[in-house]
Amino acid sequence: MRCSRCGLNFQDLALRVDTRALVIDEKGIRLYCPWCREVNTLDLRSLNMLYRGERFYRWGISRASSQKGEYLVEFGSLVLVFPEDRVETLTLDQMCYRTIPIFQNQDGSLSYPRLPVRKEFVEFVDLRRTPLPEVIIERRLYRIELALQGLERTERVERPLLAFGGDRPVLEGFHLVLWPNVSYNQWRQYFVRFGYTSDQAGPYRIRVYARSRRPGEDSQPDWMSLKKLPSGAQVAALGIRPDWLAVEFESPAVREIVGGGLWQVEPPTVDQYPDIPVTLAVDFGTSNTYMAYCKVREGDPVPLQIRDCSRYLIWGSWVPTCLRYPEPWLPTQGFAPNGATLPSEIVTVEPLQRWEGRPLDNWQPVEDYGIVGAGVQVQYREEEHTVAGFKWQETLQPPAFRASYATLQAKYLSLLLLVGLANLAREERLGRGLEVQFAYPLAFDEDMRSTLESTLQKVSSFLRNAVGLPVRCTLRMDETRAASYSVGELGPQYSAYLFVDIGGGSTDIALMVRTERREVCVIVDSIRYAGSALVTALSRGQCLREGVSEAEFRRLIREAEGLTTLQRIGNVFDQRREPAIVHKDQYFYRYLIEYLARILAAHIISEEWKDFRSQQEIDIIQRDGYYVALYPLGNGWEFGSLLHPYYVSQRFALELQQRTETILREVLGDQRSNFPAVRVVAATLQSIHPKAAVAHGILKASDIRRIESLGSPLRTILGWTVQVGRIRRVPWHRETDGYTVPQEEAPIQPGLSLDCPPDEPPRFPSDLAGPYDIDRNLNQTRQILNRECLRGREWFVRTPMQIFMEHLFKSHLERVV
Amino acid sequence: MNEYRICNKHPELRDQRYPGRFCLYCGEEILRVELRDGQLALGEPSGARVIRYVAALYEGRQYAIRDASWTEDGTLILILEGRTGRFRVRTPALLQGFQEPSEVLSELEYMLG
Repeated sequence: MRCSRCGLNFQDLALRVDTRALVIDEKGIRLYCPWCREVNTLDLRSLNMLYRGERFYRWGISRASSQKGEYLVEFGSLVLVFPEDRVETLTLDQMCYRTIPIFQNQDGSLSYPRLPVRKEFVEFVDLRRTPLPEVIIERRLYRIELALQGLERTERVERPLLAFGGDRPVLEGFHLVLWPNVSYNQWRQYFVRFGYTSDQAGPYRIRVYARSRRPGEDSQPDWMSLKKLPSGAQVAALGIRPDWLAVEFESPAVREIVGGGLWQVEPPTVDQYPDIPVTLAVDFGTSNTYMAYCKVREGDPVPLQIRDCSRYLIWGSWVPTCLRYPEPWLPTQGFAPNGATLPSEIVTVEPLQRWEGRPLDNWQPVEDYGIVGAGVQVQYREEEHTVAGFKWQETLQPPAFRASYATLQAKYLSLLLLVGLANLAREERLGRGLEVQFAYPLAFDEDMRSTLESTLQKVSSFLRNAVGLPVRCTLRMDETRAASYSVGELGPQYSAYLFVDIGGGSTDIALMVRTERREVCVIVDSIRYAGSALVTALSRGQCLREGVSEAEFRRLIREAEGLTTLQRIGNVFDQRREPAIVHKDQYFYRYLIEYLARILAAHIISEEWKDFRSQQEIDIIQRDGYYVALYPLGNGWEFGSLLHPYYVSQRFALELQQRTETILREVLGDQRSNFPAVRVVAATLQSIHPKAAVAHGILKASDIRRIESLGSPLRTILGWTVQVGRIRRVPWHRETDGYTVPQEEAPIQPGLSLDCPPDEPPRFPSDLAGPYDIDRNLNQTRQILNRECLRGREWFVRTPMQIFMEHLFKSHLERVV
Repeated sequence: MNEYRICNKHPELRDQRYPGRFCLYCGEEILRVELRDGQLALGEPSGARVIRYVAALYEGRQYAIRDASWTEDGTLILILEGRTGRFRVRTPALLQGFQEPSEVLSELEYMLG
């Protein structure tokens, strides 16, 4: 043994050392280096000895002698003196379990321990010289030729099989699982689960242990017991690959271990990760998160299909998919689309109430929290164990955890990406050169973006430790821009694209002008008005059957792969409330139509549509119409299926076109004919699901056409005419990018009050509750307008129409009947 | 077999020929290396008693040591009379020098720079 600091070889020390004066624990003897003072630990196993419970156990014939009550062990020139009365020579009976448990696998094969040796003594075994054991069921016998370190001869060990009262001496319905089943030496984060579906454990108490290091500790491998969960299953999160798993059966009557065995986890076979330049893109949504990957500079984006990465060492049952307790194992299946989606939700093993006010930093995946994948039935009270909406601090449920939203983001993304990387490894796509790229909603302000960036740094650090790769997670671009990259080429008649990505928490909008030579984003907008607003409205508006909570509703939507399926099944919606359901749904989209129609109308009125075009192009558009291709992105469009089977193309696009025309007629009057007619056509997304657009767009961004923007990442219109102070009015179609004061306008002086007069065109549709219908005289909303719109700047940071959508229309959906 | 006195707390090894500066049991500094008459002297920190002298041998020739200093990892750096540059003695060589009957440091490594 050499000094870890200076390299001095302790075996060269011509000394006699009394071990009674040394610090000794199970890891070994502590020795100070005589020349550099470094503390070193002499592993007793190198002396064919072990120290357990104040006693030394020895085996084999070591270079040792005994004299005058002292047991001397030579270690090179160093002689270690042990008190003889504390040194014990082991017997096979001491070393091995009395009986051996044998498990039945589902395919009819048997699973039995590699070694019958008690976990404390596994070090004594020379595994390379120990052949596989033999089980003779008829004789109820386990047999192995055991080779011990330091002993040339092998010892035959025969043990009876563990009896538990059945006809056959095999246990059924048990599982012992290791996750993930990867073979890379550098992968460090593993999880173990032991559980059963039968009551065959009979009178025994079962304890399971893994030999591994605890996460974050730089120590010798050590046995740690798995954490027992309420269902009786046992789990552990391990910071390094375990090499042995022990299953012990204890008789409560006599309080001693009556049987057991050791299952070996073979060492990894691949020393180095391959050199694979892969980019993983993540669309971290408010409700769902989608992952896709592609090889850098090669190939199309591929959805990262989540599959089972578990390895069953005992396979008498699967890890349960019907959860009576909140004990999520690693997701074995993803949701639609493409099985590459997982809910943006954390499920906690303990009720959330117990965590209120306590730090969440030490949460361990699987032991304390998890993500529930597809194919799982939930029977526990979801609302007591589910944290959702943590992409945004103010939408986090339950609200008691809002202060910890960044921690929850980090916990979630760490586990999500760990699952993702395990699946990449399964696809043989994990290697050096991995990059993980995220997009962010445009509605994120600087603080939120910086919080997410710092969260991603923590996640990168976790992943570096967990998989032993220099993983770098970055925020690549905004979600809207990302989605725009995922779309294929348009037909020649289209003059503009309108991307509307309705996610769970935000709807991101981009209007892109297309000319012969250029593609320019003229509107990039984001509002916190999206699918979860309708989910909440339906849930709180008593539209669901009794007993269906909001959390369960969200999960069922994912499971059902379509709301119409959910409606047809009939166990979610309250059928008596169907008119209210339809109304809420219609209102949800109509507010969005109003928002978009104003954007399109402003685009025409301001003559922005003419920019970047030749006179010939302008003439053609003037003659044939201004064709806008509407791209419906995101899962939020799913609700439209409750209104019409082809809602976007048959209803939404048409209504948007009609409403835009109405506004143009109202505002332009006699001048209408001088402007082109607006035609909105819903485009079909070619071979891409609406939810996949952002992630695929991130991946395509580097290899597809360059999309120009007009400077600032955010650009939209006010949407509602604003009264500034007593005299000045800023028209509804005026643009804002949050920074620049438009040429036609003067800066807004600080201290001036803002208001939105009710009588300004375009008039709000009479059959849709407007701002003044919802908030009489705009009493409450005016305060928000004055607080949010300027935020101390000279021009609009937020627009009145955004405020109406987020504060008035969203909450009004709950009351619509 | 030699027996050495290690430190006050650990008197069980009672010989004076302990080959190191720090107690193997507790890390306490018990002996000190000083430069005396061109040789290294391993002795009690008080300087009252020298236990063993060690000479420097390089390329088969003995040199007087002009200066000796320690690095953090226990390596000894020597400057020799009549030789330019510095010489490094790693701890395994130190152990050998102070433990073996030859009483010379023979594994001197010439340091560049």
